[in-house]
Order: sequence, then structure tokens, then C-alpha cells
Amino acid sequence: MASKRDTLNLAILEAAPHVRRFAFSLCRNAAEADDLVQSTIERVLSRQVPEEADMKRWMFQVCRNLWIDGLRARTVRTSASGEIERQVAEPISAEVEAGDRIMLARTEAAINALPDAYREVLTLVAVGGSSYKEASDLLDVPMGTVMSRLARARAMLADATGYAA
Amino acid sequence: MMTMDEKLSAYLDGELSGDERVALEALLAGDEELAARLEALALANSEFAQHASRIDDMPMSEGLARRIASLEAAGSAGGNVTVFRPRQALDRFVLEHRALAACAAVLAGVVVWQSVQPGGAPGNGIDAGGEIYAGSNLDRMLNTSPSDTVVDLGEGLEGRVRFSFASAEGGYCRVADMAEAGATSRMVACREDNTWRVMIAAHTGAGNTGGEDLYRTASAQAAQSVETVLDALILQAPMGAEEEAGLIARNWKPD
Repeated sequence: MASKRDTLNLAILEAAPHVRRFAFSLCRNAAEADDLVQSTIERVLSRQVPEEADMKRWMFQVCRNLWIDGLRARTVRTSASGEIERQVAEPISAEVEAGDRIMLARTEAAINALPDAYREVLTLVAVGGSSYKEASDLLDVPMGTVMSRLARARAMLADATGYAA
Repeated sequence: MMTMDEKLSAYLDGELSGDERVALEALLAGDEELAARLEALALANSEFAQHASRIDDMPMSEGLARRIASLEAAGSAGGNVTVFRPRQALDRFVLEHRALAACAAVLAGVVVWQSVQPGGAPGNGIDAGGEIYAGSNLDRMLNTSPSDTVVDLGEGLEGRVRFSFASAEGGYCRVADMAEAGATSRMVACREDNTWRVMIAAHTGAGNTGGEDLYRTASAQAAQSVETVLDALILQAPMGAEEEAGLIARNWKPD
């Protein structure tokens, strides 16, 4: 018979690869993402987890909150409210102007250029599999805001990468 | 009032109502430009998700790897991935990539392939270090069975070598599957000092306590952990039947 602790450990381990993708999507840096996942695990282990909680979603929420805390601490976060100015992707160097590397570099630049508030909601929905309602609750914004940020995030990516004709 | 991009985006996420979806699909059917826009947004979405999964191929930080390992160790009784004292470099490689196998090692209650678990019956057994007993059924299969041949290992256990390959360290290794009622195992074994040593074994099957979803996830993760070790060991493509037959005939000695 597995103890409560074993069950918790198992749930964390099951969710960990998903949370790592989630964190990487938010941070765009593997080392920072791993630090974030580690902090998420420590936080989950040190606090009470609601019995009915889905561990993956719970960890996404903890991870996202820790990421926000980190951004606030560094005061680099783009405000989630108000109009967000469209950012322009950085130009790609001549060295990577070849085949798939161009596309990869463009995609990466476009993702990096997304405002945090857009990347956050796209991460929740496209990587985390959240519904609009879940994203709305988690981000504490209206559903309409979730919808518009998602659409704009995808449009920015499509336009910047050249998918959009 | 939703913009068209918002509608298309919500359509991709399955967030439109039935009526809205039908209306949009009717529009899409007659408007190539709109269909192209949907495709562009879908592609962007897919690229974004794919970009996030790139971290799966990146080594974990040491701190996170150790945290994961400690969680695995805390619940490892009856675990279904066993790494057998691999070489130091491999050990580190596996540790760093442990995210792939993170959930596979702590399934309580998985007891399969008992006879070839460490300390199992000598008939097919392997010792705690992963060394396969000389003269055991498993040893005979690895020594003499060509790939893709089903071998009766006794006690209801069937084995099949999937393929053989030259290892990056100059030796020879084989990937084999074992199956018994409702349970399967996969292992990578390498030839060292005239004996076979199991580098990793992943077990999936009946007996776990987590329900079907957990079983499927664990199975996939366990398989991935084997792939991770394979990636670390394999030098080139698996060897062909002729080369393999030659090695079997020479008792796995090089030319």
C-alpha cells in the first residue's frame, strides 16, 4: 500500500516532464527552467496540496506563480494590463540563413519577442492544455482577454515566422 | 464581438460553441484565404508547443536531476526501471536525462519479470550488478539467438532479441524484449569480459496501482528511458543479420 507521501512523489514525478516544458516555454532558457521546476517541486512538497487537485495543473499554477514572482523581482515583466506594444523580432544573422535553421531561428526569435502576457496564456493553453476558463481563473483575467491574447499571440507568431501569407 | 483571428484561434482550441463552429466551418469551406489564415495560426501554435518540448532533449541541471533522483529513490520499492551500475559516463548521462524516465521509476507494486529481476531465480536471473548468470536461459538467448526469433525462457517467459549493435566503447550490445502474462520488459545488455551485463531494464505490465492512464504514461516513459540509454551506447545503426550471425558463431568475439 503506497503511503500519501509516495503517492505525492509519484504524482510530482509524473508531472515533472510536463512542468519542465511548461517552465521552458515561460523562461525560454533551459537552466532557468530547471531552476523553476526545482523550486516548483520544493514548493509543492512544502505546502498542502488540495486532495482533489490535478497535480499537473497544480504544478503549472505553482510554476507560473513562481515565474511571475521572479519576473517581479527583476522588474522586467511587461504589464499584463493595458495595451501591449507589438515587439519586433530580432533580425537573424546571416550565418543561420540556411534551410531549417532559418525557420528555427525565426520561430525562436518570434517566441522570444512575444510579450510575457501573451506567452503566458499561450503556454497555459497550447503547452499546458488548459481550457479558456481555467486560464481565465489562473490569470485572473476575463475569458475575453484570454481569447484576445491567444489570438494575438498566434497572429504575431504566424506573421513573424512568415506562415501568414 | 470577436475578431476573425479570435474566432479561428478559439476554433483551434475547441472553444467555440456548436453553432459558432458550424458557421465558421461553412465560411472556411468557401474562403481559401480564411482557410490559409487558420492554417497559419495552427502552424504557429504547433511550433510554439514543439519549441517547448525541445527541452526534453536537453540535459537536466544537476540540481533538478538530483531532486528527481531523490524523489525516485524515496518511492523506488517495486520500481519499473532498473539501471544496473552503468559506466560512470552513462550514469551521469542517464541522471541528466532523468526527466524522460521521471515517472517510470516509482510505480509501487509493479512486480513483473520476477525471474530476471536482480536476485531472481538463477534459471534466468541476473545479479544485483546486472550481470547475467552464465549458462542461464537468458544468457543462452543473448549468446545464440538471432534477432527477431522468439525463445522460450521457461516459467511462462518468452524472449526475443530485437537487434544487436556495436557500442561506442568498442563492445557489442543487444536489445531484448521479454514477455509473460500481461507484462513485458525491455532491456539493453552489453557483452563485457565474456559475460552479458544488463545496462537498463524497463518493466511494464499488470500490477500497477495507478489505473490505465498511469500505466500508459509509465510505459511510454519507461520505453523512453531505454531509448535514452541506447542513445548513449549506440555507435551506429544496428548491425545486419550477416554480421550478427558471424558474431554469434564466434561467440561474440570480433574478427
